[in-house]
Amino acid sequence: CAPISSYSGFQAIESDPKDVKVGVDTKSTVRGKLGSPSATSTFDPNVWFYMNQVKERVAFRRPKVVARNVTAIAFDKDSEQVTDVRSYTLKDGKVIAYNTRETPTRGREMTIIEQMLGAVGHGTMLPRDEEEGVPGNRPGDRR
Amino acid sequence: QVQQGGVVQRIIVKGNERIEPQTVISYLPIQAGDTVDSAKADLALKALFRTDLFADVKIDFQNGDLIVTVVENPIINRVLFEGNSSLKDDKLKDEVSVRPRGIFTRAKAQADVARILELYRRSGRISATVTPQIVELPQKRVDLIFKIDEGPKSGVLRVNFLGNKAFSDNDLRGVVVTEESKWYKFFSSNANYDPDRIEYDKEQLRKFYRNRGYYDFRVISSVAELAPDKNGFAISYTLDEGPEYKFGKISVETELQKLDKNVLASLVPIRSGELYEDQRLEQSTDALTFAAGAAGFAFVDVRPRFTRHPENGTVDVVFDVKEGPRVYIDRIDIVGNTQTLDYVIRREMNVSEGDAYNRALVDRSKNQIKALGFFKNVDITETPGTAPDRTSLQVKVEEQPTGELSFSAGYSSVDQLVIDLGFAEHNFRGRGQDVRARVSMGSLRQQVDFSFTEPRFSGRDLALGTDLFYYKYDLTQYSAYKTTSGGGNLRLSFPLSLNARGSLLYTLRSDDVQIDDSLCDPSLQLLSYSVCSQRGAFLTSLVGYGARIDRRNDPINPTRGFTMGITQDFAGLGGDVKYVKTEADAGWYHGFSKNFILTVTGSAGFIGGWGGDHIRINDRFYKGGNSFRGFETAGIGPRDLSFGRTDSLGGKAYAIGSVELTIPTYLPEQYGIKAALFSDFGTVGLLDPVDKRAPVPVDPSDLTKGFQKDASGNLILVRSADIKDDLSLRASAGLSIFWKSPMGPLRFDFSQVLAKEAYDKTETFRFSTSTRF
Amino acid sequence: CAGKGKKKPQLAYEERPVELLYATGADYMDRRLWNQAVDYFGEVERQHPYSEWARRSILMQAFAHYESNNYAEAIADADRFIQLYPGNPAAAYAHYLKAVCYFEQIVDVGRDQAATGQALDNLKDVVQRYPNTEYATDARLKIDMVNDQLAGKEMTIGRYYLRQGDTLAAINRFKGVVDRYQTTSHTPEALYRLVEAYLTLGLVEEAKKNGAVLGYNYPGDPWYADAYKLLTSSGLKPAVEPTARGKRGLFHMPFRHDKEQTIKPPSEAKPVEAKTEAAPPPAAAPAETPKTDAPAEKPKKRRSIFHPFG
Repeated sequence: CAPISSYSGFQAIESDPKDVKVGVDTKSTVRGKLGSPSATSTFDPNVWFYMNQVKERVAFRRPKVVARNVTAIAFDKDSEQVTDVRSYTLKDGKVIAYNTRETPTRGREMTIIEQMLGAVGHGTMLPRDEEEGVPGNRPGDRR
Repeated sequence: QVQQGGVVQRIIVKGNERIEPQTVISYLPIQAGDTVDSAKADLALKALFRTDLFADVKIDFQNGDLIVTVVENPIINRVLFEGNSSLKDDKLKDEVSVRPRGIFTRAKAQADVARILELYRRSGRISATVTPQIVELPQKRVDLIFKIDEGPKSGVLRVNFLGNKAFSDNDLRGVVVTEESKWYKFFSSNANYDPDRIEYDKEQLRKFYRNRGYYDFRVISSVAELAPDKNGFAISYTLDEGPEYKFGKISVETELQKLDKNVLASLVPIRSGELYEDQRLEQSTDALTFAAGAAGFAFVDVRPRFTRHPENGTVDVVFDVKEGPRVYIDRIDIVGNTQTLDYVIRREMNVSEGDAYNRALVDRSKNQIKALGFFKNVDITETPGTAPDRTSLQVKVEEQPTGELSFSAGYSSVDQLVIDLGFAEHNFRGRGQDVRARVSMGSLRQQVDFSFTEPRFSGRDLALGTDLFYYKYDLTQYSAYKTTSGGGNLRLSFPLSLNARGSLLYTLRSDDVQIDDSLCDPSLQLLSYSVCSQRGAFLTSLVGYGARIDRRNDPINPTRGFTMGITQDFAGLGGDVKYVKTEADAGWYHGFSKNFILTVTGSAGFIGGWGGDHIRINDRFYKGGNSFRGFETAGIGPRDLSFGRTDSLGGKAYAIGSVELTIPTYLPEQYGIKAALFSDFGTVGLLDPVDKRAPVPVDPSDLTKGFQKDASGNLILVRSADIKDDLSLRASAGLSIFWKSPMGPLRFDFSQVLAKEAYDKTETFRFSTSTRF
Repeated sequence: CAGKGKKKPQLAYEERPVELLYATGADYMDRRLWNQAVDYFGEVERQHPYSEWARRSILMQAFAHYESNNYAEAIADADRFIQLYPGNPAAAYAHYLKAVCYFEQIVDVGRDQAATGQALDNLKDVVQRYPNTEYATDARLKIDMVNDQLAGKEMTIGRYYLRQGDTLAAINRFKGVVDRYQTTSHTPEALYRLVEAYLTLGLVEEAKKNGAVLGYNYPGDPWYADAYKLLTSSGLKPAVEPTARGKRGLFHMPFRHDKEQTIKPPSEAKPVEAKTEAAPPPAAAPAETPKTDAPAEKPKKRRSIFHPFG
C-alpha cells in the first residue's frame, strides 16, 4: 500500500530560510523574502521560527513525520539585524510521550437521551424485507 | 419650540401615562444644568422618537424649565388576521413583527403590511391587498387587525421563446424553472409568476447554451404581459444564440520555472476540436490547481484567457498558471457544530494551521466533511488573518438529525405479525461513531442485533467495529428448516491507497439447524435425506479479508467510474465448520445525460469445504428476489423435489450480472421518483456429492427404515433422484421504480422471466424496502 | 402570555383586580410552579399595562422563564423590560438575568461556543453599566469562568494538533492561550505543552525558557513538576525546584447549574451596594407609592421574597 504523504508548514520554493545572512538581513528584509514567520518565541518577539514538515500515512498506521526542518532566526532588539540563524532537522527533535492529563473544563455534555430524542421521527416506518433471513443477508454478515 | 437658549434648571415630563419620567429623561441627551438651544432640542426630539415609545413629542423651554410633553404609543392587545384563506394565521403571525403586549407604531404596522404582501406575491397572488385597522381599547390599548383580500391566483399561462434556432421551445421549457400552470400541476409552485424566478431562468438559459458551444449566447429581453382577463401572465424570452463554437488551440503558460508547461498541458481535460463547454473550463482550472498543489506549489492561481475566432467558429484558450499570493493559514475555526465534536470535523481537514493556503486541498476537505453525512450543508470561508499574508478559515457547518428511531408493526402474508423496533445513530454523542440496535419479533422471525463502529480508532485512519446478534428464523417458506444462531464479529477497515480500502474480519457464530423430527422419519418419506442430514448445531469460527477499489464520481448516485471488490473468508480456525468462501463484485457506471445512466454490475462467488468437510445448507448461496429480479426469494438454484416438496438447497457457486438503464420520468424532482429498465442474468448451483446421494438407512440392523416398497412389494433403496442442480443460465428483464417516500425508500420491480429451469420459482411483481438503488 | 390552551380563554375575559392577579402569580412563584406564574403575570401586564404592577410582572415572568430553563423567553422578557424601563433601577437585574441565561447555555468545549461568546458580552455589559452592584460581583466571577471555558477550547484543539504531529499548529494555539488567557486555570498546562512541543522540534533553548516561566509563576503546580521532570530528562537544569508532588489528578468539575446562587429579582429597593453576603435585602416598602393604586393590605401571612409587601 502506497504511503499518502502530506506537506505542511512554510513553503520554501524560491527563498530558503537557511540562507538568511547574519548582520546583513533585518526583520523587514526577512519578512519580504520569506513572509511572516511560522511562529515567534512565546516571550521574545525577536526570535522567529520558520518550519515545515512532511508527514506520511501508510494504511492504518498513525501518521509519521518523515522530514522536518526548522530555522530559528534571532534579531537584535534595537537594530533589528539578524544576530543568529540556526536550523534543525528531524534528528534534532526528541520523541516525547505527551502527558495524558488534561485541565478540566466546564460546559454541559450532550446526554445520549437528548440526542436520541432528536432522532425521533426520522426513521423508516416500513417493515423490513422478508429476504433478511437468507444466508448472506443475516445480521453479522459482511455489511 | 425653543427660541432663546438658557440653562436648564429642571426637566418636567408631561402626558406620560405608563412610561416613568426618569425613563424619558434617561433617553434625553440634555440633563439638568446643561445649556439648551434649538439644535440640542431637535436632537432630543429625534432621540425620543427613535425609541419608538412615543407617537408625538413636544419640547418647550420657559424660564429654566424644560417641558417635554409626550403622547405615548398604544400597546397592542391582540393581533388578528381576517380574509386570509391560502395562508394560515400562524404562518402570518411568524412573519409580522408586531407582538401582543408590544408597542404599536404606525411604521411597524406599515412594514408588516409590506411583509404580508411579499409573502402573498411569492405564493403567486400578485393582486392581494392588505389594510391594517386599529380598534381603540380603554387604557390606551389597541387591537390590530389586518384585513386581507387575497385576489385571484396569478399563474403563468404561456412561456414562449423567440430567436431560438438550435433548440426547440419544448427543450428550452425543460431548461427554465418557470412552468406553464396546468390543472394537473396542483403541487408545483413554479407555475406562479415570480420576477426573481425570471432572473434565475435567464441564468439557466445562459448556462444551458454556454455548455453546448454557444459562446456568444445572450438573452436580449424577457417580457411578462398580464393577460387581458388578469388571470395569468404570458412570459416570452427573446434570445440571440450566435454561432456554435469548438475549442481551438489549448495551451498553458506559466512563469514558475519549476513547473513544466507540457506536463500541465497534458492534464487539461479539453482537446481542440471538441464542442465548446463552459463547465470543462472549471474542470481544467481545478485539475491544474490540484496538480500544482500536489507538486508542492500551494500558491498557484490559474486563469483562462480566451481569443474568439468567429470566422472559423473556434475559441482558443490559454491557461495562465501564475504564482498566486503567498498566503498561509492562521487559524481554522469550526462553528455551527451543536452536536458533532470539534476534532471529528477537524480530522477531515487536509490542511492544518500554519500550512500554505491551497484551494484544491480546501475544496477536498469540504467534500470530505460533507461525506460524513452529519451536516445539511458545509461551507468554508476565508477571514483576514493576523498579518497581511495570513488568512483564517471559518468552517461553518449546519447539523442535521443523524439518528433514526424506526418503529413498524406490519402484517405480511409470509411473516404474519411483525413488530420491528430499530434505533440507529450515525454520530453517536457527537463522536462520529455509528451505533445501531434492532429488535424484531414476528411469528417466523425473532431477532436482536447490535452494531457499533468507530471510524477513527485511536486517531488513526482505521475503522473498528463489532456486530453482536442472536436470531431465530423459520425458513420453511422456501427451505423447510429453522435456524437459531448467535454470535458476534470484529471488523477492521483501513485505506490501502487514495481510492482503495482494505478490511479484516473475525466472526464467531454458533448455528443450530432444526427440522422437527416427525418430518425426517425416513419411513414416513416426508422430507428427503438431503435436507434432514443438515440438522444439528455447529460452531463457525472464521477469519476473512477484503479489498475494494472505488473510482466512482459520487458514491450515492454515480454517473461515471467503476468500483471493484473481493472478499475471502477462511472458516476452520477452531469450530467444526471448515470452508473457504470467495466473493467478488464489480460495477461500471456511465451517464449519457442527466436522465440516461447505464449501470453494469456483476457478482460471483464460490464456497468450497476443506479437510473433507461439506458445505452445510446454512452456508450456501441463495439468490432471487432483490438479488435476482424476476425470481422469488431463493427462487433460483438447487432444489429438492422429492415427495412433492420444493425446498431450496442453495448452491456452492453463483454468478449474476445485471444491466440497468435509468430513464426520465418527467415528474418534478421533489417527488423523488426514479425509474430504470433492467435485465438480470446468471446462475446458482453446484452441491457437494455427499448432499445429493441416497438416504442411508438410519439403523443398519432394521433394514425396514429408509426403504420403500415398490409396486411389487420388495424393498428398494429410495434414491433421492429428485434433487435438481444444474448451473444453467436464468435471465429476466423488466422495469424497476424507486421512490423516496416520506416513510422510507421503496422499490417496485415489474419483471418478465426470459430463461429459467422448470423448478425455479418466479414472480412478476416485487415490493421491497431495499435501500440499494 | 404563554398560558396553556384551555386555561387562557377563562383568564382573558375575566377582568380581575390587579393585586389579586399579582398575588396569585407570586404565590405560584413560591410553589415553584413557573408556568402558572407566567400566565398570571402575563395577565397582569395585559389587563393593566399602565400599572406599576405591570413593570414588576415583566421581571417576574423573566425570572420564572429562567427558572424553568426556558432561556429564549427569559431573554425576550428581559429585553422588553430594558426597552420599556431603561432608567428604572431594576433594569440592572434584567441585564444580569439575561447574562445568566446565556451563561447557563454554555456547552462542553468540544462543541460550538456561540453561547459562551454571548455570555461574555452580556456579563461585560453588566459589569460596565452597574460596576458596584451585587450583580457585577457575580458577573465578574462568571466572566472568569467563561474565559476559562474559551481557553479550554483552545487547549483541546492544541492538544489535538500536538497528538496528530502538527507541532507548529499546536505551538500557535498554546501561545494564544498564554497571550490572551493568562488569568485562567489553563495557563500552566499551556506552558507545559509548549515545553513538550519545543522539545519535540529540538528547540531546547526555547523549551527551557518556557519551563522557566512556568516554574517562576507556578512552582507549586503539578504541571511544573511534570515539566521539571521532562526538562531534566533531556539534559537541562531548570532553576526553580518544584514544590508539588507530580501527578495530582484534579477532580472533574461538571458544570452545575447552581441556580440557587443566581440572585433573585429585587423587591422595590434600589440594587444595594455590593455586600459580602449575597442575600437580597428584606422586602422593604416601595420607595414611592405606585401612582394609581393604594398599597394593598398584607395578603399573606407566610413571608415570601417575591411579594413586594412581604
